[in-house]
Amino acid sequence: MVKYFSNSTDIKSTWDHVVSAFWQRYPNPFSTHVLTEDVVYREVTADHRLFSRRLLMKTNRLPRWAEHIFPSGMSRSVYIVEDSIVDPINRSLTTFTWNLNHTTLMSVEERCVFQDSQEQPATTQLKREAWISSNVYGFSRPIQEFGLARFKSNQVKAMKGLEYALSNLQGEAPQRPLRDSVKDASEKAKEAAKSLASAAAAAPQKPQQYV
Amino acid sequence: MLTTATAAENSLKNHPNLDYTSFVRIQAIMNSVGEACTDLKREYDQCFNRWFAEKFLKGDRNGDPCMETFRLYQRCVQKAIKEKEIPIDGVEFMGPNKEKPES
Repeated sequence: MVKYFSNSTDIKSTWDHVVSAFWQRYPNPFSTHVLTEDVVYREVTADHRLFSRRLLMKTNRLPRWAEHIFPSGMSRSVYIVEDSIVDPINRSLTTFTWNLNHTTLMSVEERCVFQDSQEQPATTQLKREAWISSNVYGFSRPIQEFGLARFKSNQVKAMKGLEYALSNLQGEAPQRPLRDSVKDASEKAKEAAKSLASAAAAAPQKPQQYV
Repeated sequence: MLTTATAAENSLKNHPNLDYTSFVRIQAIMNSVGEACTDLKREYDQCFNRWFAEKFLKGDRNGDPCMETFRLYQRCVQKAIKEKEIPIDGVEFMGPNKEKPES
């Protein structure tokens, strides 16, 4: 049984900024569970699209009841593959992310499409879809529920992390205490923001907050 | 583990001939899965982020200045992937996406 989840959100930054921030969003204060990040494949195709694969290693945080079910020798690390295609001509970024291990316990697959908003200037629309399933006999329903709850929580963190990277794109001072809020960073970014020759006419606005 | 930006990163920011500064963060770095590869990763990432904003997004198709630094980084990280037996070899690009309906 597979749980399907989808939503659409607006990011108040230009597509160019969003795609640049996409490569630079780690580390951020909301990603302490992401331990390593590596580009393991990259290629520019003949039609000028950028294909990339990133390998991420994350800690595997299970609830107490699940820890009792699974062997203690099970790896605490989850390996995640993120494949992506940047199309600068059609201005779309498509990503597909899934976990390489712990797939019997839970398989989480996510597709994201970032494109210019059709309605608002200097805004990027993000459409996300996720497929969550578990094959553990007798426990698949609670595990899927847990998986969906954790996935939604991770989505919030991922958006906060992307917003954090976007607000820091103006090349601010490198040292930021982890306690600094995203709101604080984006207030400063708003003051420091400068418009680019290639950006849309509208001045950058304060990034939308997702709580 | 967060580390501070280096003087090299700061000099990139102040370089007179580069106008990519609003697209590139001066940032703390992530570790590579290969402990020995983190410095090579950082060098490659810096090169890539500059090229991506300054050339690729603007449609400039003239070559890739990061080929050499990428090669060195890959040699290191692919070795680490094999040593740690991370099951990524042979995994098809966008594989699971193929069986999903178009959104």
